[in-house]
Amino acid sequence: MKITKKKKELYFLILYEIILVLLFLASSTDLIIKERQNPVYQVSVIIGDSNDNDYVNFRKGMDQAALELNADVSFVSLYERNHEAQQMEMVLREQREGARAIVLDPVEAAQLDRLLERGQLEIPVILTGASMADHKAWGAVTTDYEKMGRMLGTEILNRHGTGQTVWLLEQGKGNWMNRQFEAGIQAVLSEAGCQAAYYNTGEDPDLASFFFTRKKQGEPDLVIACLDQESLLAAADRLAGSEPAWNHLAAGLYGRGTSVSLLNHLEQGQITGLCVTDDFTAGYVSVRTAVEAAAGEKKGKDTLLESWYIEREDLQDPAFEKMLYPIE
Amino acid sequence: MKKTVRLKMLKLHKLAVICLFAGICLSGCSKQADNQEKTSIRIGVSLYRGDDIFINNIRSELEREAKSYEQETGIKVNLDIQDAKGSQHIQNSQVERFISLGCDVLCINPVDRMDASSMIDQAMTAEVPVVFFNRQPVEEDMNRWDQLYYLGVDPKESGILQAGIVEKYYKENPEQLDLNGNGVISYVLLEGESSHQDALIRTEWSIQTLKDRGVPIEKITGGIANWERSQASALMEQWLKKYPGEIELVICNNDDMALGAIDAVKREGASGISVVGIDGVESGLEAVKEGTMIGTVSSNKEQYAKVMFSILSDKAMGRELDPELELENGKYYRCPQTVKEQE
Amino acid sequence: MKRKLKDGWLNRFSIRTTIYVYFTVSALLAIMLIGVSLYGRLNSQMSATIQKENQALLTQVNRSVDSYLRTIMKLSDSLYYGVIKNADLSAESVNNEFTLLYGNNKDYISNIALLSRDGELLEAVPAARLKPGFSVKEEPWFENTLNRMDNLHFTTPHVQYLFDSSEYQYRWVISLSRAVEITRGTSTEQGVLLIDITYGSLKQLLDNITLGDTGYLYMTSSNGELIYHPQMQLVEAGQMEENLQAAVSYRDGHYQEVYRGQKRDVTVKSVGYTGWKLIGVTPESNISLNNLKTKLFIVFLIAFVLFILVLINAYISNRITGPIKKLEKSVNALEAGDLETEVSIGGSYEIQHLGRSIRDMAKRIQTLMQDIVAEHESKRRSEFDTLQSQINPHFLYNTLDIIVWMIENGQKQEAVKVVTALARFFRISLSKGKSIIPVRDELEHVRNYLMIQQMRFKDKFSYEIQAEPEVLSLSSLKLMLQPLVENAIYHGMEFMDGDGLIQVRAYKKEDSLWFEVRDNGLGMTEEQVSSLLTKDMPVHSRHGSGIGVKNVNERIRLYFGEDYGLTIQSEPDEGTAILIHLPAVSGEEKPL
Repeated sequence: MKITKKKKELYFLILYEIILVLLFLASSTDLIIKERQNPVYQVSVIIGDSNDNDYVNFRKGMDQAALELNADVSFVSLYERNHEAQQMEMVLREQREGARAIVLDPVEAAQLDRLLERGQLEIPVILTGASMADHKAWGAVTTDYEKMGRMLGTEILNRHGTGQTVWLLEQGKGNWMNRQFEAGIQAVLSEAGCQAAYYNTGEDPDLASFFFTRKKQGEPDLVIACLDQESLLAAADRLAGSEPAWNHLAAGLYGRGTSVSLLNHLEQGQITGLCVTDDFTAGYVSVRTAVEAAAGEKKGKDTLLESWYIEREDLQDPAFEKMLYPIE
Repeated sequence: MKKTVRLKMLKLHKLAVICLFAGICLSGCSKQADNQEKTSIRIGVSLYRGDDIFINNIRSELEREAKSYEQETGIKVNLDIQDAKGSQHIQNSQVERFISLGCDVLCINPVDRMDASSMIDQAMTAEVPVVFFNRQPVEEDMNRWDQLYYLGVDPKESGILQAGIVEKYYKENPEQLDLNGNGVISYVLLEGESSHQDALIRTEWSIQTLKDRGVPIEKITGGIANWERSQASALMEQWLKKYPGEIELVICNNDDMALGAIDAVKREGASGISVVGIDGVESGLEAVKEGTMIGTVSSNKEQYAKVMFSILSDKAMGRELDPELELENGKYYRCPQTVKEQE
Repeated sequence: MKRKLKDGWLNRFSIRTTIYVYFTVSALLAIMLIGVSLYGRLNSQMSATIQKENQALLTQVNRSVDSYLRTIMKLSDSLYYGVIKNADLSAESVNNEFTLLYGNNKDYISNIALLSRDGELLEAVPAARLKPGFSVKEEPWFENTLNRMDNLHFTTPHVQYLFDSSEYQYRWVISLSRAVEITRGTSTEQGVLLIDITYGSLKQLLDNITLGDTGYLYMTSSNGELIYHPQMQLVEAGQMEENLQAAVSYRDGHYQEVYRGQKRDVTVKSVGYTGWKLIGVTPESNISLNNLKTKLFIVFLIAFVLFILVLINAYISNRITGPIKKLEKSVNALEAGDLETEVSIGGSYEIQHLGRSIRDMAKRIQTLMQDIVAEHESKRRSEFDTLQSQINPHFLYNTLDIIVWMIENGQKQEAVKVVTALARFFRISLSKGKSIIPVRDELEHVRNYLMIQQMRFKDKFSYEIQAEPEVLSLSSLKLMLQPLVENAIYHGMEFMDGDGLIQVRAYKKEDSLWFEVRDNGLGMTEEQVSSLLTKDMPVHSRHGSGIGVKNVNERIRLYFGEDYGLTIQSEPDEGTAILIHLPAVSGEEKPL
């Protein structure tokens, strides 16, 4: 078909008109180029504990990230502490409820692997603990608890020497963090030839019998390293408690944690040394990573967070001050 | 020839524009509203201060209730608890955020009971029911909408019950109270926030009831400790220094301040001073058990939280309230209190 | 060379295209010029406006921070000058006054405390205790305050650690301290008045202030410590970076900086007394029209206006060139020879004028052509006439001589014959001016001639005239036969001595009229034959009419067309026959 000049002109004109209309739509309406409607990402944070006492700063960081990145963060705690099956149920439930990414503080990471293998889990998971290399999560924001344990072990040795038995306290069934922490401490202690003993405070929540027994046995000046925050708090409370006799029982009380009560105990002297982490940053980065995952970014990152050992004086150090007492 | 070309183009253009409008309309059509049965509810909770022990107790009870509800019904409860840090301004923006996040119901412990109107406005506009608790907004504000509720402990009852404790104690062991045996029980008063009506009412009714029941009390001094343990502790310490050996009874508007007084007493090494509080928080109950407090008026926090959660969940699910709940004027619920005394 | 090419290239396009192109290009240039300059202007205007607004906002915030700090400083003043100075602390307590002032300022005061020089807590509102085991005396700020008596000393934000506080909470405060004189009884001593400002209240002033879309402000102390930042915790934790080092060096004013790949507009304003700096940051992208949508819109606008202009242009150029085209078409038709075509008149008055002129010219050409034709015809006619007038008068004279001789010789009867013949001859010669006469008359004409010539030549020859009756009324050309007979006589009969015979015959064959003039005379050679048809007779020939054979031929052909004319057949010594071919036309003379 011969296209005459007139026809050519007509086609050209039509094409031009179409381009004009498209340009108009693109520039003045929302049809083609949508004004970035900041999408709200639904993220769920599932921890292994039944309350959030240890997560106060973490939650502050979480909230900040939620505000900045337009995320709807749902903080889920278990009904029962360290119940793996429950946790996995929670994970699936959150996925059902529309979470686009999950930040998980796993009770047992192997369970997570099983879920992933079975193909039940479709949304990205960010682990706060256990590096990504070991498990098939999308990303991880972790602290090296073993390193922390080593650090504490070294400090204990520095202060107390190798002569004393170091009591390792734990409340109930511990989680992977405790295990790693313990491993670190044990490693350093055993290298130096220092004795370590384990006591589970499960049935003795306020450590009455622990201290009583020790006192009876005439053991002076215990060196206690608590593997988790609950036992540390219990020990510190007991030491701060009404009976002055207990006050001097412990030569040194060590542990890890960042809650305000523990910091107060550190300040008041019940706790000798404390291993701390920047929970605010942990919370912030976890949610940020989760939002990145939810937004569809490709394979994620493994973020390793620092840990520090502090004593009383360090509380006034502006850097630690800001870290441990986040400004809200 | 040119004219027909132009006409054709005009027609084409018109057609194109019509098509575009149709497209715009279609795309702008709202998505289908999902009216399925709710599988999760979202509750926004704002506490006037995060460090108030009583409030914290209620909070943990509420969380517990939420968890058991979840387990029972399988409906996810998204409990978003925020601390207003004593600023009404912050609380207002928290309410704004709750509403924008799509909370189904709000649970607010207002910072300034006189200034609840902006929160109520926001809730009314968004049609989100509100359950106030512990600090009661003024009646005019509460009457603005029928989806506003209030849970609280009756301060008058608290005062009377507190007086009852002292009265009983006096009747049973007068010498424990009247340490110096002068026939008069000298007391100091630790009061809550001056703007909190509970503080006023509790104080008023406690003292009045004691007087009415013929307990010979005499006030040495009093002070406002703003519900806080540390402030109470500091005040008590000052008084112990100022009136050594004179103080026989400490009447406190709440348990936290009572504990603070007990702290000061312990520190100063004074003994025998009777302390009575109100609230029945865990630490308070423990103090009663230990014997450092003679008694406290305990509100049934489990009940408190249960009722509160029942209202919250019903409202969130869009159901009618439990008919068994007896609400004053359809809005107010007074939590029952019991006396917890030393054995 | 180039110029020629250029002209040639441009000239290849029609007016329409040329106007179109010129118009479009100039429109496009104009639009682009306007668009770009407007955009640039708007852009800079907008930037300037936004900058001004941001600065105004910053000034506003500065003022509120200033007033906030001043309020607190005034509180400190009231506490000191209004209360402490006038009180004797050994005798009275300032608690009530403190409580009153605290109550008024509860929103932003966390604690008010009066400390003695040794760090003893003299008064605190709300009631508070110093942390046990805590020595205030050794705190650097305490010493600094005591050393600089005249100053109010502001700290940077820190966690409140002086007083015993709740187990679960911590407070961020900014401490304002001053040295005071405490009166106890008769002695006065130094002390420190401490006011802890809640950080939250300052934060409230500065929170949620955005400069434009993505701009923000933050506050630092004079040596770069962050006092407030919308993402303070993150900056402190290292999760975010802020250009703090540069900020320290800035004095009040505006700066452009490039930080982490982003161009930013920075405004710095100092807060009075404390030396704190309020820094407002606006990213460049924020304050210009650099939106993709805006750019697209401008492109759209340009394209749209261009489109409209092109349409208008097309319409206008069509209106102008349309009539020209029509005119051109008419001219084309005219060129092709159709002078009758309708010349279209339209368009602007110049074109109309052209059209009209062309139309008139065409008409004139037509008229002129017709004139020429007419002229041509009349010229022909006159030529014709001229030719005809070449009828020789000599023949007349000779014949008259003969008549006179005859009369003198008493040959009256012959003279009468000759006179009559002559009269008849001339009458037909003239034929009232007509060129076309009936064959009858032409034959008569030649008979008379022959008769006269016979008498002259004393019967040297004889003649015959035969004609079919039907041809008699047909048209013939005048003075046609006579010259041929004349020719036959003078070239053929000279040497015949009475045997000469001239035959004239007229007959019709088909649609043609034929005449034959035969003689049996000398005949002619071929050269003579051809020369007969080409040679012009000398004008004044003595023998006859003076019209030669050539002329007859020419006339016949002139009059009747090229198809007709003379044909000569001749054989030397045998004779000559001249054939005249005419169309058989009945007797109506075509008007000339």
